[in-house]
Amino acid sequence: MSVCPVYQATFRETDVARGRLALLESVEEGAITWSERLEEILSRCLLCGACAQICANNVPTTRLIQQGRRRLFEAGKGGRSSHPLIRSVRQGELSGKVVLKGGALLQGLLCRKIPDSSGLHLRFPLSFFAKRATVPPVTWRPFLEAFRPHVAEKMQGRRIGFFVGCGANYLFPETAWALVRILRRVGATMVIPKDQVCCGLPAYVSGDTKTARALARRTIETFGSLELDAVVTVCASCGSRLQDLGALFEDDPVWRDAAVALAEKHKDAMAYLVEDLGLDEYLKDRGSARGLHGKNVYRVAYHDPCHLRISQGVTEVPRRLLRTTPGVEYAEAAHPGQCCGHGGDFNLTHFDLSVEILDRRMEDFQRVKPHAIVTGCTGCLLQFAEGVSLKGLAGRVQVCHPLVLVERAMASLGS
Amino acid sequence: MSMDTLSTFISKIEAIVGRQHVTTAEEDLLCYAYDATNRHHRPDAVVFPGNTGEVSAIMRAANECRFFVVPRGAGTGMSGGALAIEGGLTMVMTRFNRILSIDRDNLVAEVEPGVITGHFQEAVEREGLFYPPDPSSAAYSTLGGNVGECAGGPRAVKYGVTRDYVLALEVVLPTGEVIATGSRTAKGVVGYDLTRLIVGSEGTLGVVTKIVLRLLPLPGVVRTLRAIFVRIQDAGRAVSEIVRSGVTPRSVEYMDQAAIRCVEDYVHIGLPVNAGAMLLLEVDGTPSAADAGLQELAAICEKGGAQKVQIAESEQEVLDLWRARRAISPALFRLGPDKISEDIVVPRSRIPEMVEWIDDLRKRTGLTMVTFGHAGDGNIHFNIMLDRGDKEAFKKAEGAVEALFRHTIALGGTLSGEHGVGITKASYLDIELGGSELALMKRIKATFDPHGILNPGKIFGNL
Repeated sequence: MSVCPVYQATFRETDVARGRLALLESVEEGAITWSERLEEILSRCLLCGACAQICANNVPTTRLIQQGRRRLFEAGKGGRSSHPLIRSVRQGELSGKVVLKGGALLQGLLCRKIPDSSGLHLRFPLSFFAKRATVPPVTWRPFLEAFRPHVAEKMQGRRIGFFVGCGANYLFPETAWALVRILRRVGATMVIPKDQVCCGLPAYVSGDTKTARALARRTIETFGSLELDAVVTVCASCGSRLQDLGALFEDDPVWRDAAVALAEKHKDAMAYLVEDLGLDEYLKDRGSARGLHGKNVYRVAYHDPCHLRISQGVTEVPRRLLRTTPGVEYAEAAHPGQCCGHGGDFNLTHFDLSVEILDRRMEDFQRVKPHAIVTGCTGCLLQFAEGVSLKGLAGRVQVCHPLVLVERAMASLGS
Repeated sequence: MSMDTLSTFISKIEAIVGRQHVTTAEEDLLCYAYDATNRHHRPDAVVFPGNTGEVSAIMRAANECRFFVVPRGAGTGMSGGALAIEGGLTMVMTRFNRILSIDRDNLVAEVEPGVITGHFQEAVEREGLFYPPDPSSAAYSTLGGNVGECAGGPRAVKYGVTRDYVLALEVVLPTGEVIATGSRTAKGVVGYDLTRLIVGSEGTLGVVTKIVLRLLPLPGVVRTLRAIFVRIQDAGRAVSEIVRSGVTPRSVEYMDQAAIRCVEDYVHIGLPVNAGAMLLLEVDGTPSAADAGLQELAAICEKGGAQKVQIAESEQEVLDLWRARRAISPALFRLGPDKISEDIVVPRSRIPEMVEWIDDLRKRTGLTMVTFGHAGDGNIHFNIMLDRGDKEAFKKAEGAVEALFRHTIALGGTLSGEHGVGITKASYLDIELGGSELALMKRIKATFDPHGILNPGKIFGNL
């Protein structure tokens, strides 16, 4: 109750683990049946995992709610989830871009215009556009289309696979480019398969396990055959999905082993850069802060994505990285670890509630007066872009992935 | 209650608060059927009033229709105070969630009852002020619930309990009248002290809609130490010695061997599993006074046979020391799926006797017992871990609890320090209260609530 972002906004017992678990138990006992109200209640969970993390009795609430949603979906009761955006993934073929782009849309974004090349025609309810302060434009040049490997990257050495994810491909390609440039500077070999697909998280959390499995198989096939030393992600949500891939194939030993093997190779890009490549030491050795941002200090505050903090246990590395980044003054905002309220699907179906949770998080950040709010998750980035706009800070507070600032500092040092 | 009466009553309530703030959906009712006692009693409807006028109108309507009303905060109570055991309307006060003012000049704050205790503490501490009551549930319990049960916590040994911080209240009576009790001043003796009557009345006399709280300046520093004893009796005697010493620690927490082992099994932080007991002491104040006080307590523990005394040197070490204490409640469930939890209090000087008696009870019954608690004020949390399905063990446990209660009274103590009577202790009430006292209390209840519609069945059982 003390950690649930939704409960902290509504203080309703139906909006907290204790209530939801009581209801799932009642369903199990046959005291109640699946209903629209129950579906509504289950949909009001961010699946952030904060309750499960602190639970003394190790109740896997996140998984139980996902299972509840799955049963609703399989019973054909996914009315709430049959939003055009969400349906697009299920109805779209699994061939390449359609799913990839459908997945990107599901991460909570709305496109000003769908790229002509996609062949994807979606209709959005007007209310979505009416309510949002920001509508992130889909990039005209997705990262995967623009990326061309250097000759050096085709050579032997430590081979790092990059699972780009929909967010970094379509919405925030600067994050993907930042990682590419950083890895080039430290001399690692990158492998970026062009036929990679969506991680499947949007389908998974809305109960569509079938689609999630199909996407996972594609990912395993694409990355499994490449003889990689590691697979990195720049989006916490994609990362959390990859790390938990084995759970999708509990009844299928062949795929399960392959999924677990891939999950074991996966690491968040920031964690890999610091823990395996020593990027923080590298930055320290490059000397002191320089006037990267004019004469002023550039104050940066970091937000923990739930999918990084809870699902992957990464909290200290991004902070260490930012503290060693030349030209950056790190500022810790109050209530570290608090969710931003995005929650993927949740942001689409419960926009007002999502913004209410965001509003409190923005207040924490506004108190430290940052020049930039940085975070390593597509959902959180979208959410803070919205938050900065709502608070009238657009243009004054930058919202980006930490690696974008790291890369900028490295570029400046190198010149 | 017939369906007809119910639907007529619900339409009245809907007219008062608006349709969106009332629910009779089965899914919602099930979510308001429980509290921290893990017992289940489904209400007939749940209402979320937004202001005093609405609460008053609801009470008036309920009084006219003879419809039961059960006030509820966050539903974290340990004695069933928020459960609709007779059905009726559960009135959830969480929309009353504003801190209305924090007056630094007079050290007074005015709050609504739905404010989370921990949020309020954080808000006053930002102003350099201090609200001491700190029940373990502070991170999620509400101030209104704390007032209803007169919540305590570890700091009570120095700072007292919720009752000691409530200056004034706005209360809606079961008949719908709105009364204001107490005054915002430090002193006040005009008329009977209705404020103290309402605090700890477990939501049976009225619904609190506004609370005026006394604050203190925030102490400069807090120093923490942990003492480990081979023999539990030595720890008990050390507590008595500490109470006599003249240093007033702000908390004196105690864990017995069963609690230490259970926690160590759960969090693996290197606790001394062979120790008989552990004390966790805190002193606050100016840096020099706190340091001096802590040294004195360390000396008392050492002289009293402590095997090891550890003073926390950093914030992190403080957290580490407290970690063991905070992990007890969750860790307990490793010993059994169900918990019988009592919070008896004995005069502080009788703690060694009580501790020995419980040790003996454990040996006699063979039940899994864990004790810990706020030794500094004599408040001992006594827990029996068992499986409710095991009828024999359950019966034995019930006998043990009654024996515990009788011994507590014999030592000059009381049945509950901070959880309240509610439904869990209602049947033991006459162990502590005499016939005349009980009869007077029931007359007071009838004066406030002539039709017995507010939180029926609590404290006295069925009237």
